[in-house]
Amino acid sequence: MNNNISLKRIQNEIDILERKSYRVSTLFGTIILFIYGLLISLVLIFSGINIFEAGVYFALFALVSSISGYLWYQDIQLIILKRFSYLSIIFVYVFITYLLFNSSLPGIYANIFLAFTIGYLYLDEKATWINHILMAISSSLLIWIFPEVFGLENLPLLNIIVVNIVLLIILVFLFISSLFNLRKKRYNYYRLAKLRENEFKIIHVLIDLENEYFTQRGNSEDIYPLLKELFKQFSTKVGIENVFESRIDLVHDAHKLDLKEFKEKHPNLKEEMKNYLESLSLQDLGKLRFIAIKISQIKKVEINYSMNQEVFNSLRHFEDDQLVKLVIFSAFFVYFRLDKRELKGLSTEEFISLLNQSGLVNEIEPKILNIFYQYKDVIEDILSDATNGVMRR
Amino acid sequence: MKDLIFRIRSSQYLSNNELVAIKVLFINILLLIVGVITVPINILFSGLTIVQIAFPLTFVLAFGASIILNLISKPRLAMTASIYAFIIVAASFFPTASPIYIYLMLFALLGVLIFYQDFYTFAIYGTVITIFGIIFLFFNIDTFTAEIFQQSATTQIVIYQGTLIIFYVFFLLNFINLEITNERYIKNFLESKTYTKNYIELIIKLKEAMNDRDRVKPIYDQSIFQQGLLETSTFLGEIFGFKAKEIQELVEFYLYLHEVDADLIISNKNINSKTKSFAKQLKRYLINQNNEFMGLVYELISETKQGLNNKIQNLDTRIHNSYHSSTDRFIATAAIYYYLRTEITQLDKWERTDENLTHQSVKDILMDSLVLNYLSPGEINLILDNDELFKRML
Repeated sequence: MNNNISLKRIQNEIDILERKSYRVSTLFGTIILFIYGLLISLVLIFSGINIFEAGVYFALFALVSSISGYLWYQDIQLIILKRFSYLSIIFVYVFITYLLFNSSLPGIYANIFLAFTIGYLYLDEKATWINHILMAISSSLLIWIFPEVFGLENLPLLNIIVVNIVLLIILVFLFISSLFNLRKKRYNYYRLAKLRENEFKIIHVLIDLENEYFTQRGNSEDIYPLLKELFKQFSTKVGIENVFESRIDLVHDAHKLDLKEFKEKHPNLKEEMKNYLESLSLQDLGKLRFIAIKISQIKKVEINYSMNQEVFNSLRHFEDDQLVKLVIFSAFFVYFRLDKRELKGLSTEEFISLLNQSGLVNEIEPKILNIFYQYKDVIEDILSDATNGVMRR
Repeated sequence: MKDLIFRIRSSQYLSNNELVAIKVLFINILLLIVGVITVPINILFSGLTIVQIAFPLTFVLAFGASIILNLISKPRLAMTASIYAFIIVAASFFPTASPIYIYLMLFALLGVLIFYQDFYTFAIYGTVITIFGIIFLFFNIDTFTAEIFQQSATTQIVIYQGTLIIFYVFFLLNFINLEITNERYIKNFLESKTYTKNYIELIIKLKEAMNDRDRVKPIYDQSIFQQGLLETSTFLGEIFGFKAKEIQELVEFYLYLHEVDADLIISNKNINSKTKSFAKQLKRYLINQNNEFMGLVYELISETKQGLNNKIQNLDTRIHNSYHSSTDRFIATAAIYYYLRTEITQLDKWERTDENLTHQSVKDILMDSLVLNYLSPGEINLILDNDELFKRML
């Protein structure tokens, strides 16, 4: 088993999931930037600022939101989407800070909160850092440069410091909350990608057991003459040239011949082409076979949304008693120490290594795991004595 | 404290409820600080009125409720109680504080709701706070308007109101964004999980058939497993301070649950609540059912399997994305049809993994919207428009 390929497939899937999610954020960002630009320009016009200046402000927002919208529409690379979102956040803060110092507008200071909401949209760690740091700087500037906004001008210095500290504490809280969210989201993507990869591996377990149980199975090459006849009749029926026959022959060759034999028979075709053609066959561990098995289960897929709170399989449920967690972990461990049809009994070291490799180590109560690691040799001896005792009986 | 820091550092592994519990703890610490400072100040400044008694009392009640509910593992209710406690603290300032402060306090209250990152909480309490803010501003026009500005008093107050409303609406959109992301994730996750559960069901039934054929006892019924479990649990349990008898009783109960219907025990009125509680917890981990335990077992076993062959670089299951020409896509579709019709993928009426799909069942599957995760309409119609040909030839 090549673990690197498996990890690569998981990482590819995580990237796809993250890009999909960031595109939604970008779309929301585009809409909000445009609306905010429009509203602030209108407010400025009604406040007596000259129309040209307000027009320039609106044009700036229209430009930023148009680029953002374009990036969303083009389904562009994730890294470009992210970098542009950082620029958008910085732009909004710079713009509002500029307005603070240059426009006499009631309640303009509260616009900093609006900048914060825009920055909050982008579900990314760097965007979160940028948003919270800029919010901390701009709001602190506001308190110290315009204390009258908060009615702080006549109060002692200590009071201004206290107000500033309270504001920073609230920001730290919001920052922690955002980080919780982001880490959870990233972990969820990992879990989903891993679950999808594992689906194929569990199907592999099923195929192996079926191969062991159903000894009288057909040959996977039986399909080719049937396919050729099917498409011959299909082509006649719809009145098109039969382009399928030669293709099916190629697929058949790619399936049954090794690379050397294939190249001898088809010198013009490269290895990549052989792999591609092979993927059209029902070869062992080929994607088509797995897809067919997935499709076969569709009718039994009923999604129960009420279970969405605790969807992860875990041995560390919040509501379980500690003793239950202990016994269940022991059952899990002993289960893997013994021989089964799908897997030979594992040594304690192999069990630990597999736990780490699978990520399931995170689904076990850390305290129990630490004790298990600490006493693994003693547990190994106890278990050997117990199982040998049973064997002797 | 060490445990709390550990939990925060590994927050991604916590369940949603555990995360809410930690957030409530944070807010309760903040409430404690705010309460210690503000309650005495309020008593000093509000005079001998009903407010002097009502605010501190309701605050202490809400704050206490939040702490207790969090301790008894009801974090969502604790979250609501802590929000009420915060609203009470803020309201206690209303009679004496400057309206500008009250206006800013509304942002702070919305900040607390944002901290909890819960769409419904924000939609309910955020709406109430915003509406209150709009009305409050109407009644305090004098404080919020100044002659230094060129605009009329109405325009000035509308700007203040507008800022609060936009703040609320933008965050509401933000939460909708989070909900969309979350919903999509949950849908995909549950879909994949349900598929996995189906494969495990087929595996379990196949193993039962193999055990029957070979006259092998299931693992939970083998003395070697039972003895191993007893000894390991007792050793680990004693380190944690549990009594050997208590541990052994639980192990025996766990093994016993494999022989009976756990639901009957849970619903039996004559059985004490502690036993029922254990039955409810252990039910998820029985080895003879397709449950969480077996899900984890196969998650770990699957690590030893290759799954897709090493030439495949991605997990994309859409035929349309994998093959360039319609000729290839049609060949792939026909191969899938052939597999579905000839290979064993279903349980029969005796719940044995021993049946393939009929032509009609394949057609039914093709009508299901989930099939669009694999085949595009063109490929589906290839079979449906030529179903007699497919039925006859493959």
